[in-house]
Amino acid sequence: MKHEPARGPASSGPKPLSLRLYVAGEAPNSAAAIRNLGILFPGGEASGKPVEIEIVDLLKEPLRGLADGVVLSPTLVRLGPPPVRRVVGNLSNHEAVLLALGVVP
Amino acid sequence: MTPHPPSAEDSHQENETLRQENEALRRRLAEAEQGNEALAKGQIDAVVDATHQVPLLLRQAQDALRESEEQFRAMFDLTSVGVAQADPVTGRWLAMNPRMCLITGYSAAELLAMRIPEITHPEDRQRDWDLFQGVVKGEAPEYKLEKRYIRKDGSIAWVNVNMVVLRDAAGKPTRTVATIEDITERRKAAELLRESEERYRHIVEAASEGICSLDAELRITFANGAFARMLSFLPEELLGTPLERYAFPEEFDEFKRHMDVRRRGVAEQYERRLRRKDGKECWCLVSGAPILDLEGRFAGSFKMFTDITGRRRLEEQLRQSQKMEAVGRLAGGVAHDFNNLLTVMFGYSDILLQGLEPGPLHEAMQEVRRAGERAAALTRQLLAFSRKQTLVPEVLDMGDVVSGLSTMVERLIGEEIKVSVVVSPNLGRVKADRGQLEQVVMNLAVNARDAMPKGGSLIFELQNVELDDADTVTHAEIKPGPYVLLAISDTGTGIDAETQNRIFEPFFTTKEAGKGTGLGLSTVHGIVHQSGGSISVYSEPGQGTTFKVYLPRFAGDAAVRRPVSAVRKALPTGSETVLVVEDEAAIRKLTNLILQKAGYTVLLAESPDAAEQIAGSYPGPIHLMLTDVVMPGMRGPELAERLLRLRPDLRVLYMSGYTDNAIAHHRFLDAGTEFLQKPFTPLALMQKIREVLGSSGP
Repeated sequence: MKHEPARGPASSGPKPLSLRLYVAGEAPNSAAAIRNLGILFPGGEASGKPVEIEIVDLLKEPLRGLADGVVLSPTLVRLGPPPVRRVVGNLSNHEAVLLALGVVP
Repeated sequence: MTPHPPSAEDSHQENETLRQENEALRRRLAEAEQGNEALAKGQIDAVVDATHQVPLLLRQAQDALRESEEQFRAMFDLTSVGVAQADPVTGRWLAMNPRMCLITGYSAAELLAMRIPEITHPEDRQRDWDLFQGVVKGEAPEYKLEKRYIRKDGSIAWVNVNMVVLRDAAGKPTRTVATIEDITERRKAAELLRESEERYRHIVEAASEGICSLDAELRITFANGAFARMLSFLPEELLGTPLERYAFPEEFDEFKRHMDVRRRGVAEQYERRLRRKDGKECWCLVSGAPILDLEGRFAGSFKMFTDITGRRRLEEQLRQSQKMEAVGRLAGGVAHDFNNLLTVMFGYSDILLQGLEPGPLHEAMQEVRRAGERAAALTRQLLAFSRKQTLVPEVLDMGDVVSGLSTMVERLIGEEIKVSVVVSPNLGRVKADRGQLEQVVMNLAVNARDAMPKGGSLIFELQNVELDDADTVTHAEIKPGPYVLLAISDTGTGIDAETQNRIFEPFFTTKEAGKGTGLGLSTVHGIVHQSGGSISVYSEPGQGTTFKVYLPRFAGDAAVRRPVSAVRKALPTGSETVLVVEDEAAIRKLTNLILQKAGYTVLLAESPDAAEQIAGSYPGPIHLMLTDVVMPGMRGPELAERLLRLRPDLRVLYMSGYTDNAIAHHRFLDAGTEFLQKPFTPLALMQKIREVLGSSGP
């Protein structure tokens, strides 16, 4: 599993796209969501701009999900730049995911 | 809410806030809808229970996780290889499956308290740990090693280990995972196979049989030392060469026939010659078996060769002696008939000679008589060869016999040949017929002379020898034991191998027609064998020849011979009664004539039965029975025994052309038995009768 520390929305300068994926261990949809994320942002980039991704396992850290208002797993949250957005599910509909995140393919 | 009338600015701000809230609500709605959709599609694994602050796995996810976990467990537990995890720093065991416990003989609890090196064989420990460290440090992605564990019971388990390292996000090794395959049985099987192969290779290499294998083109693919030695090559020189190269060209057809049989998948055994490096032959008993491939096609053959050159030589000797035996039997039978005829010829010749006045007729009769004597001498030789001649053995010093003859030998062979006699001290004695031994010595001396037309030397050597089993192998008819060896060596022309093989055959001669009978050496052969000895010849063309005569050394006391009365020249007469038993009418008639002329009273019997009748019914005394040895119905000695019961004073004189089979078994008539050898002359008969009757005449 790949962990990358999130810098948070308060970072200055041209803000990179910051994402956080909440999963339930290695459950099938969670694993699929991680895989799809890898496909959507190959090399950790979106249209040449860096993308920061944090993956949070709710089985290990359930409170973090509650704090972010996440009740379903898997859920992908766009932390920044604003607006904050959420996509629920295994992210298999790539077009819908990019649209929901506000990223132009 | 403030009571101020709404300003345009206020109104604008309010609108903006409302718009934003609407927007947020709309987004939340969209997200909720999207969440509902994901739920409906089964894309949700867990829902967080806000009250208890725990995530609840949905059933599908639970099942999948459990299944995945169970699969992993099953793989971990049931796999036929050991799986174990260890601490990358200390090497302490962290987890293992039951198979690992089986391999090492330790329980999981015991292993968890141990480190990898503790159960590793001391000889493998350092190497194993170095490799382990190498992988942990990232110098190698994994390691594979065949190593030994010391099991709990002290026995050794051979294992094949494959190890990788698990690392955390920072690349720090967290644990090692290894598969451990038990290869003890496989190694044991391989070791057994290797030992077995080594054992068979040793057997094949050490075998005295020649062993080789051929490929389908009949080229040698393997040859052991014995096979190479048979052909006087080195094994590696044979490899890849066609077997045909070691066959004699004249036997190629036979070779091809054998190989065709092999191609049909049939094994067989046969005798065949191999051609050695030096061109000489090596006779072999060959066992050939086809080698077939998995599809049953001819792929070559396997051959085993037993050297039977020695055996064939012995067989050849046996055939030779059997041939001699057969010829001897024939000669003996012929000689017996000759002796009867010659006895008659001598008898009537002598009677005629007595009646004829000196003159041409007397001379002519003398010639007939002399021809008869030559015929008799020839017959004696035939009998000696056939070993049917009656021997009168006595205990002799061979040195005396040879020395006594040396003067005569020197005169016989001429001045150009130097004769020397070497007698070793303490020479043993032999028991044999003196006259016959003299015949042996003279015969060999004459042969030596003929081989040295330009002169040379002739050496007689006498010594004691002990023959053992090995010696007697080359002398087919002789027993191991003490012998007296008479070696007669010349410096003559020598004898080639072909002639050596046939030299003792009767009527075999290398001399010109008329110069030899071909009976000389066969006679010698017969005499020596009849005396329990053996004769052999060693010769190289141009290097001379040595005949070696072995006679059994005599161990007992010398037999006392009856003194022989002096030979009387005048035809002796007598007046006693003589019973003549003879089945040959001509001899009976002749004997009757001679005895009557000499004054004897003669009773004639044509058979043993008739003789018994006469002995029982004749009123007067019977002083002597003159009887043949071999007659139909009863033999001479048996008849004598019966008659001696009736007339104990009866004297017995045997006459025979040869001894019968019963006597031949003993080889000789007992010393002291009165015996007259056919053919005999009237004088010899009269003298012998007087000799027998002389001491106890009427």
